[in-house]
Amino acid sequence: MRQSYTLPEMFLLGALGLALLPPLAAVLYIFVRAAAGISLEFIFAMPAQRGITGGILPAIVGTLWLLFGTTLVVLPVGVGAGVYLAEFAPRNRFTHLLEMALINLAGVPSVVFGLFGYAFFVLTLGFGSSLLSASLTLAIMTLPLVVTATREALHGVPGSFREASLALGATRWQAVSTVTLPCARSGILTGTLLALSRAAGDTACILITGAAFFLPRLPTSFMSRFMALPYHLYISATQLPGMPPERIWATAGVLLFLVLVMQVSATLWRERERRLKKW
Amino acid sequence: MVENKHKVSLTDISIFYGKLHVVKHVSVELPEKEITAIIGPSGSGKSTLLRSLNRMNDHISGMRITGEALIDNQNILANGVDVVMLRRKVGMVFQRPNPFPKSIYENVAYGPKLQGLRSKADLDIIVENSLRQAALWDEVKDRLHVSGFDLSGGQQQRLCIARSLAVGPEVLLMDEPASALDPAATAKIEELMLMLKRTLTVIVVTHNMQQAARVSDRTAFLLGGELVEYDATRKIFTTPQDKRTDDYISGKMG
Repeated sequence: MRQSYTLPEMFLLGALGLALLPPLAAVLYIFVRAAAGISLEFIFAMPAQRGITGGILPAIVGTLWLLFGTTLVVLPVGVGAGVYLAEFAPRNRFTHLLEMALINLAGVPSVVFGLFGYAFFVLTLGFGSSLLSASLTLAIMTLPLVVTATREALHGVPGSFREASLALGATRWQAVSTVTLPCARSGILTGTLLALSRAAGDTACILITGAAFFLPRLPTSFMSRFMALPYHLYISATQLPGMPPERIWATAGVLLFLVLVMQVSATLWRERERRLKKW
Repeated sequence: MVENKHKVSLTDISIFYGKLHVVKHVSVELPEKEITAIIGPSGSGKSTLLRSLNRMNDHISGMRITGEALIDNQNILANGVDVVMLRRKVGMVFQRPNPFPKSIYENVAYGPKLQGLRSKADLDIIVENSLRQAALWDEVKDRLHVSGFDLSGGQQQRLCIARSLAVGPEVLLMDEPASALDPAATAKIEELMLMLKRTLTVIVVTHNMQQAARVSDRTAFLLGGELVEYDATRKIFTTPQDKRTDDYISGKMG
């Protein structure tokens, strides 16, 4: 057993502690504080009195709708673009440039996308403040992530599978659809799930594209305005004197729980697939 | 010995990767239903030459090929050639066993399914026949639905051979098919090759000179992209005409 640490080792260990403890403490603190405000009513009832009493059902449902709408766009478009880049695009400088651009687009602040969504979807296309505008804006934010995840998952499939398929008389599309894509499926889906969990927690994209703070009914179509967890949390924490603090913490707890479930299932899934893979 | 008719005729084949001249003016005629071995040191262009016969080099950007390559008197390098049809006729087995991450059954049924065959009864027959032809049936008939990865390396390679046979090729290209296998598994593959030549024309690239001597009817020796010598295997290994061939087979080179 090690008796003593050298100075550099102590520094590195300290850095690890500093890196891990605060986020863990924050998560734990939120769940502990949230426990006081969580009840069946809080989760399943409509809000009342500008959200000071009642529940947050419309915010939960609104966030799920947003995720659904975003998935509808991001899955076909993002995966399609990623498959094209990885399997069909010519290997030249332009493709390389495009791939670099996509990676960098993933770092664009979401409020910028929010502003674009407002100008383009809400005003220019006339979708108004709606689930549609907000979902499309979130889709734009997450697309670079999904395209990149798809591309990387496909690059991870051994070229020998593709080669074997082509040598058996497959067209390029057949090789992709029957071998490479099924092999990359888990990587694509976990990447998409992680991107969606970012969309679930994003406030800036939905802020000016359709989210409402107090709307005590459920959305009825993609043209409805809607409540959403992150926006509700932001307003009740900053703009609303008299909001009982345990309700704020409880909202944070529900949002955190939703995002964690998505992230953890993505991680577990990836681990499981990794164990099953033998190449 | 009765001379079989020529299945593959290459005339002045040159292959370039960008500016690199990898195969240089190779002309050769390969008889039907025989095994031709292509030997030569690493980088001599053996694999490149082999892979031009099912146009697998098409997928490498910057590749250029000149000359004429006839299979059954059809120029396979012509522009209008349907590469998919060509590859059904000219199968390929690779250096490392590369079964798909699918069951043994699905691996073999893969090619026929690509062609749109759906009937379970027909597929069953093709799978069984192909596995029998590849001398693998008896070892796997009770576990056709386990993953191809659960087989040993030698079995995986025979599975890949069965997978190629299921498409009904007339020519089988083998790119160092035993180089990743142990001697026992290698012996089985060689035995299998001798059985396959009853119905197929086999062209095998190999590093292993004993292997070429054991299984092939004819041997082509490639050096630096040039065809140095091509003759009956017995002649190449007993009375080579070129000093470079002599040096190579006696181990003085590469």
